[in-house]
Amino acid sequence: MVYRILSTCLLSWLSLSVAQAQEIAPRYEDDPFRQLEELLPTPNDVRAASGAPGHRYWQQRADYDIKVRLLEDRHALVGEETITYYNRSPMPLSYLWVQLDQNRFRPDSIDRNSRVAPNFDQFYYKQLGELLIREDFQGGHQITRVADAEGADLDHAIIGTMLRIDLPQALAPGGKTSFQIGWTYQIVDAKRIRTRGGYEYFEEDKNTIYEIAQWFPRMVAYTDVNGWQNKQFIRRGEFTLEFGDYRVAITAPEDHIVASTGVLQNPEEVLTEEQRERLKKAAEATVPQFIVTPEEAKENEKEKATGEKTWVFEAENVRDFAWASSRKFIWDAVKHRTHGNDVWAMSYFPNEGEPLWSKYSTHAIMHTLDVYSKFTFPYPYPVAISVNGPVGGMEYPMICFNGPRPEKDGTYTKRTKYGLITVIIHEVGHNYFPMIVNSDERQWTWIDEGINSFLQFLAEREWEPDYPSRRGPARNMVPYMVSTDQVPIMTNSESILQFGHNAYGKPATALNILRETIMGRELFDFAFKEFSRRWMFKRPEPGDFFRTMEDASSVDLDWFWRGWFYTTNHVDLAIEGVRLLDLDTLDPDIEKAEDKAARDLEPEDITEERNSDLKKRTERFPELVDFYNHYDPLDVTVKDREEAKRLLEALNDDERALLKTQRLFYAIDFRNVGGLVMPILLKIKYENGSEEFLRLPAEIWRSNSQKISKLILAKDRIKSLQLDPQWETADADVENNHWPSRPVKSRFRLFKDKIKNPMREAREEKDKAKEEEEPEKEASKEDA
Amino acid sequence: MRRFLKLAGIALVFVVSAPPQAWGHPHHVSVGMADWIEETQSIEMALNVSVIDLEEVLSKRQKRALELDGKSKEIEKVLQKYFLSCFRIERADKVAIVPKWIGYEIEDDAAWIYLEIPFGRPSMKGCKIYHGVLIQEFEEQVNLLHVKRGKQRKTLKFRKRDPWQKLPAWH
Ligand SMILES: [Zn+2]
Repeated sequence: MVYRILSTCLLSWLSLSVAQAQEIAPRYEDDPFRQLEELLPTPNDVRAASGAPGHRYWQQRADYDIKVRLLEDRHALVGEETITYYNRSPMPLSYLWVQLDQNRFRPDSIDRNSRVAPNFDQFYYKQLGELLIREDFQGGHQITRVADAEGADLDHAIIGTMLRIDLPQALAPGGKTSFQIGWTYQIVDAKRIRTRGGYEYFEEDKNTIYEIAQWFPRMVAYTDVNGWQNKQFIRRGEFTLEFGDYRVAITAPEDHIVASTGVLQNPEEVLTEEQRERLKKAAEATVPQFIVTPEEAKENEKEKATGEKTWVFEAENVRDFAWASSRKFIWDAVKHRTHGNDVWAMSYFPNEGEPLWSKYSTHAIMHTLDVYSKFTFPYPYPVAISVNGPVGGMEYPMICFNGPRPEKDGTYTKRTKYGLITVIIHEVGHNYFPMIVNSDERQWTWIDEGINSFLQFLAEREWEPDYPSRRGPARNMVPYMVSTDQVPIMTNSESILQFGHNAYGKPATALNILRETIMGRELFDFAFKEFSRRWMFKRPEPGDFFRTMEDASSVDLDWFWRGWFYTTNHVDLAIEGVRLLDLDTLDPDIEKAEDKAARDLEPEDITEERNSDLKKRTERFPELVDFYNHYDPLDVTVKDREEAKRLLEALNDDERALLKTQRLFYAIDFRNVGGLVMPILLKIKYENGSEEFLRLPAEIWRSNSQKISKLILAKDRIKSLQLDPQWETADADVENNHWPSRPVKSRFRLFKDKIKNPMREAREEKDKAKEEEEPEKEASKEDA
Repeated sequence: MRRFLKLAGIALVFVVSAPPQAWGHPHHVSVGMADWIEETQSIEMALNVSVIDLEEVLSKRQKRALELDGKSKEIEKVLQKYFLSCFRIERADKVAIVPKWIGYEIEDDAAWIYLEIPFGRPSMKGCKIYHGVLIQEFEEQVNLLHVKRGKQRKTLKFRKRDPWQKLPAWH
């Protein structure tokens, strides 16, 4: 290595690296630290600058009284409801909007007609089947009646998935109104058309599981930020709804078991005495108890009752209502005490789900409630249910639908097992976001899905060590973050590209990095809990989250929100060079000797070297030699010593002591290749064997977001440096994270190394064995 | 209409029932790294594919429950057959290139698939690649491939409606 002296002022620089990329002057608009205020809405008395609900916060309310009948022979629902709507907004409303989600399945829906053509090079029967079913399926809410409280017809219009009710008189602020809607619809075959609720028919025993959701006409949310959120339901953008109280009477075949949002009001009418006794026992138990056993469910499948029973449920302060019904259901339950509340944790599943479901489902519910309550607020509802049916995974208040099942013979793969636990944690977890912290998912998918995926990761990690988590670890996000085909997290639900990564994985990873690397657990957990509690049973916007996290932590995170949520930049920090700085001792005898030593290390000029045998003119004519042929500017002169003495005398005692500092001054140059500013996590190894770990805050990039240097005062020579040694930051290119630079093997190469050696070893072993067996065949081995 | 039905008949390989729901559990994205290697004039490819999706599809094909354990040679054969059928590579001179199977491993719920594509040319210019992993089985499947040559990078995106992409014409 060549040490080149650049200057001999007070500090002399030794450059250990020559890597120099060209400088790009940062422009103002590229400043990653500029404040978020220019993007966030101006705070007002509905939404405060702190991120809390303002002193005039308001939201609407809707209470529902519903009677519904399930017609198993026709796979249809018939319903009647009375909605009481409370206008708590400051605006009079001359019409009301109601959601008819089933209209997504109408032949003329936007969903159906905006699908692009499949690829005809390879077209499968299954696709053709779904296409034809969709073509023939007469889905959609058939509205039979819209009337006021007295039964007089109300003018109304249906626009896609939305129903507008024209009020005879505007509903004044503070007023309320009641009206009735009657409807019927054909339930979707959920095994053939992808849906969030529908039926599954079992050919073998001719029974059906119904998972019923988006089934009744529901009020559109009317909000301070969007007015009526009557953006059409296309497919992806899920729901935003108003809170209210529900009383729902479900009439189903007599031998069905009904699972539902809310608390059962008439157990003595619908449950047997034995089932009620078992529930009493389950109320005292700590592990799930069967209310309907697998054998009883099997027995129940054999015959179909002709009569009907009506199950009455009530739910307070929920934003939606869903239920499931089947004679195939096994039912287990336990009253779980968590963070001071008693919650019925219950699962409903057919024998097809066994033995997996009775082993894991209700346990997964209890676990979710424990962990999520710890990080947010105690679970406020009296019930939490997981149902197995045709839907892969979908959330509703107090109830969710989860798909994974074992094989027909009762065995199951590891994937199925963890797939089930994972999906139950996720869907039960949705009770917190968005069922209680009621964000607008038609607008922003990430608020509930991203936050929920983050909490899901925390819950998975508390289930067992090395839980196979897909979302959460920073490095899992790298391939997505470097992809060129993505949109920022802050993108409307229907326009998101790479949906799962964008709205689930990336925000979950971002929050995990905030917690582990940027804020630390203590600060993060306090602020996150504050956000959850502030917005319980209210409707937060993205800005309310960003603002609360800063308000409760005193950490300015604008750069983080801006980079991670508003751009598609990725993380890639690089060590660009290391420079060693020496203190000038002011002693010419030391300094000039060092300079000479450095000069001696310089290579000889090539011409000089090749001319070495040539007889030079000054050798032939020595009289040509004079003073300058002997003069060396690096020789120490009397004048040098006098000058040094003068300088030393001019220094005070403190300054003279500083000159004797036994420190090495290292300037480490970093470059931000990916665009996202992030903290610099640096592991330093010294030549004396000691190690140091530095966490430099992201603010280090304030003055220049592309290239900065950090001064390290070291007591020993640095041997090596490594950026982000624990892969905390989703740094995309780890090859530039080392000094001295070190090639990092690709995944492919690592795998090839891994498989190459055992094969060779195995072969060698085999050859050796052969050799020992047949030493005489040694000669012919070379041919093989 | 005739063309439509005819193709439907030709392409039928097997019937898959409805894929699992994406809500709350959206996989259906594979991500791959494809590094151009100067010395061998080939691409070394590592693909990250959801094990859940793969097991579902291969089980349907094999008509039995299949678990990717990362060890069994028999499973590797099934995977090899499937993945080699999912790729088509065409050089500028219309010569088809067959990828080489290197192997696979399992990490958490991802399968890593390793393939090598020998081009026998100093550049990928004019080459096309068809990346059909899971795109017939899952309507929303997206396959991303991060192609890298030296400091040059590009992400290719493959979907059911556009499964063929051009490789970058880098030098
Ligand atoms: Zn979800």
